Amino acid sequence: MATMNPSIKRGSAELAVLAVLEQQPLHGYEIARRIEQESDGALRFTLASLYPLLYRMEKRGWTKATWETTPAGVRRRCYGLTAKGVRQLGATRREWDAFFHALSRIGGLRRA
Amino acid sequence: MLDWSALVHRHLASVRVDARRRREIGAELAAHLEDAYDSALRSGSTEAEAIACAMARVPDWSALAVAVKRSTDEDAIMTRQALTVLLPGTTILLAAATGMSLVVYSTPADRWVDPRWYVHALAAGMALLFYLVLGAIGAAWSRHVGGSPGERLAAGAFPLVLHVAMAGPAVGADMLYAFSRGAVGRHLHINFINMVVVMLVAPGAALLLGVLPFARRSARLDAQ
Repeated sequence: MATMNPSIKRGSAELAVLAVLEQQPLHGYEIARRIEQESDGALRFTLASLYPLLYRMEKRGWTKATWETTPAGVRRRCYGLTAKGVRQLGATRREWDAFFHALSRIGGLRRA
Repeated sequence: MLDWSALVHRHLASVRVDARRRREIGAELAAHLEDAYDSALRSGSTEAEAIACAMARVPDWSALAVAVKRSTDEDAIMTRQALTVLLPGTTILLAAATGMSLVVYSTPADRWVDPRWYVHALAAGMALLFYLVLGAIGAAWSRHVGGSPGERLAAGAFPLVLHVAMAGPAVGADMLYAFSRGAVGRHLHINFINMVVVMLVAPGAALLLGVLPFARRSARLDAQ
């Protein structure tokens, strides 16, 4: 993602975060780990790219964060999707779908 | 093992958010680094490798600080200064303007700045008390929304802007009048001193007195 246009990069990062949160609420490290794992290492977040994004999404009401204490007594801030976040995920998916569809027609890309 | 919390707080010291939010961000980022470190240890890394693995999540601390600050600022309707200084300051400035209008209505302005006129001590005392309360309200409001001691002072003393705006042209005009007649003497001396005392020093002192109780850091509010 390092060489991508910032707006595309941000949009794709939002989609990735919303998509992993659709499955279950997660804390920051787990969000980054799941994205990295599910993208086979293609998408990696540093703290500087992940947390500002999480804070923006929380402010926009797409996610809701709560502090939870693990059985080991460690506090973690877990993010879960709100109803607004679910709608946003649907809209973002449609946008990216249309984007890839257009690219595939122009550039002859193959879709997975 | 590294003290991740201390490390994060040291690097994010320049991020200007309220104390509670700073602690939350610090705790969250420290937890992330600690998770990365623990995960590396569990997968067989040595301690040094695990620390390096965690630190790789933050290639540039200053970029992280800037990104966190931007994310806390960009969606805010008002900037921090607008919230902690301009909003409380402007509100008490409007209250001061209203109060001054009533004072001038009851006692014409020339009687306040001309020492030949006698202003009743009760009226002067009430005006100063009003400004003391305004200063306190401005500073307390600013503190309530997370203002630093400097911002509380600026918010509480904000009505002085009005006084400077009113006294400035009057003093300037008075000085021009005096200079144009080659008399930098009694006329200038009397009005200038009175104008400064009545329009700036007295209200400024009253506002500052009101600000003082709220200017120091509050352990209770900072702990929230």
